[in-house]
Amino acid sequence: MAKQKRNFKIDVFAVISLVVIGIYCLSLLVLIGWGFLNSVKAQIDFRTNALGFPSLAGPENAYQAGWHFDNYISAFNVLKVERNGNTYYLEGLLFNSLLYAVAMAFTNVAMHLVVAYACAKYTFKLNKILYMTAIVVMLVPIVGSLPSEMRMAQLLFGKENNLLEVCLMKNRYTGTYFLVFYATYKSISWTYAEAAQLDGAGHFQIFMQIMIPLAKNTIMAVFILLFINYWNDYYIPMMFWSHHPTVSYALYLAQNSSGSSEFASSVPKQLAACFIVSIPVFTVFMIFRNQIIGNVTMGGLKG
Amino acid sequence: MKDSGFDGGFFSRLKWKLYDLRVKLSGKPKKKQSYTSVKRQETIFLTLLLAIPVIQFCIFYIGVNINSILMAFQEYDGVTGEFKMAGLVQFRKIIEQLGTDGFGLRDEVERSTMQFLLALLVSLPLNVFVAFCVWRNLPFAGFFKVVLFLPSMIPSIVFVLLGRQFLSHGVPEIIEMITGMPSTLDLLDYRDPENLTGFKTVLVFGMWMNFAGGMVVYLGAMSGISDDVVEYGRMENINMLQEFWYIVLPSIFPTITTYIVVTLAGFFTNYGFFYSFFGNKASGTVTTLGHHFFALVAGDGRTPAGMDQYPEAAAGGLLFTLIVTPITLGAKWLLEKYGPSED
Repeated sequence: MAKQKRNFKIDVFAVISLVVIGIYCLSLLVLIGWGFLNSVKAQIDFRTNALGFPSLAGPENAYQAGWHFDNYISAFNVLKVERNGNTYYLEGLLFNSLLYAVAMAFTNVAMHLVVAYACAKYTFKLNKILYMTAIVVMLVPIVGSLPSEMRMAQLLFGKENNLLEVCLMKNRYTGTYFLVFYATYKSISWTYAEAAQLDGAGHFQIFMQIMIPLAKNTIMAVFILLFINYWNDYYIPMMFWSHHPTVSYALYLAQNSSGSSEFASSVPKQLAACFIVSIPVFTVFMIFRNQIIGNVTMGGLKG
Repeated sequence: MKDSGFDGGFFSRLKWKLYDLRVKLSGKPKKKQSYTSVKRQETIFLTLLLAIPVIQFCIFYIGVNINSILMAFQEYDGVTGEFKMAGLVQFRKIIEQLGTDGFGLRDEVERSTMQFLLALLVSLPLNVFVAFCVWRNLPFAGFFKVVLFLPSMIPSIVFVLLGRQFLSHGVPEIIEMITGMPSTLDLLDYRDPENLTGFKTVLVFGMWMNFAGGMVVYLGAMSGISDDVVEYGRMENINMLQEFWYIVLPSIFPTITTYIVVTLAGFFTNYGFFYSFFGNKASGTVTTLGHHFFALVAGDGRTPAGMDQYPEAAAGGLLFTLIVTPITLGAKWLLEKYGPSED
């Protein structure tokens, strides 16, 4: 987004806006701060003192009070998921998440991008059908196709899917980002391609060497948004890739388990794991926040 | 080259002669291709480009939905492990549940309606308002931008875990501090069909988490508004509210329409944070339709539910698709016809 210096004028609406947003932001930070404080407490301290700072520790109660930053190390050992005889600890779960998020985001971007590009820049028989299908799929809400999808996955790929199969199954071209890429390519002039054609470039070269670089800000923004989305997602891994658990899925399992594992019974360690899980996406967002904001523009559902 | 009026020295002329020679030898610029050849290349390119997305769509959208329709008329035979045709059995089951008070689908329709209205009437306007404030560069806009993104950035399951612990341990302690008496308040009680405490708590939690939802897309739409239009408005001395109402809202209305349509479309499928908080434990007491049908298939998340549940979920899906589709299309038509325009 181009930096626009807007003259700011204080009026009643502006003051109300500031107060409302300020209170909301404060509430978010309070919850996160509360979570962090409790992530460095001993379990007993958390039970008796959920609101304050960690209690002061003396030599006689070092394990029951004080600042327990070691919870962050313990989280690596106690957050675990067992699947098919394999035990996935936090580092394994993080690796699965990374693999899953990158593969899914890449496939999703690729599916949306190629169809949007073709529809926006070429005139061919299927053009209108593909565009209209994308709109209709967004407009017509199909409810309850999950059982059929599960059945289809079992029939086509067997009981356990690999990541490639999950990527192929779950990434249709007919999503919101189709409209984003379509709007992006509609706004890019075809003159660049014509100039390249005069120099003898083929369609593939034009696509790879001109059109993708021209839309790279949007592509990057969408990829990062999707990466964050898939990193946080536990529904798809739960349903289709559960034998390679991701961190989000592991956290879901941990908090909905009725078991008495060390992780389930230690709230501070659960909170410490939460912060560890959030660090990668927070870092990605902080690095790329300027690319994300302002580069995703979506038109209406004209059809 | 000859017409370029180039008046260089000997070396420059030699350079251009050499260039002409190279072009002649390399055959570039290419000789003009026939129309058929150009068209053929384009067709090959488009076929290669579109083959995978189109085949994927045919199998995993069209195929899945045809199978889903068939499944709605089937039932699962536990002995043979096969699905067999069963006529309208599943539909009768759903309609019976819709007519039953208490723990039936009828209550889930009510709860889904509450969830939908909250999303449409509270969350959506809030989302647009927040995006406008950030776009308008209020003081601390840069800071707000980062904090407002936290719910989209940090895994929702992390916030659910934080929220659950705060509600279970933090809130009772706060009440105790204020009243001086130990509190037994359980804001996540899902076994209370009368007060729906757990349902309301998660609903409010969802709204709180979605306060700045869609900000990336709204900011993208707002960045397309011409600075000239905004400046003209300023010269006319309009205030911030007028700027929002007369300039920003009409400009981003197509994006808002998309969000309204998507919200409507999610009426029967949206399970918000209910599954994250309760899994399939809360069945019948605090569930929405989306949660109900998702839990039918997902089970407790550890092991998927049995296939005997699939036909019921498919039948419910088909029935509700038939209801919500005309509503969604009608809403889209109305919004486009009567919504604000940039003119």
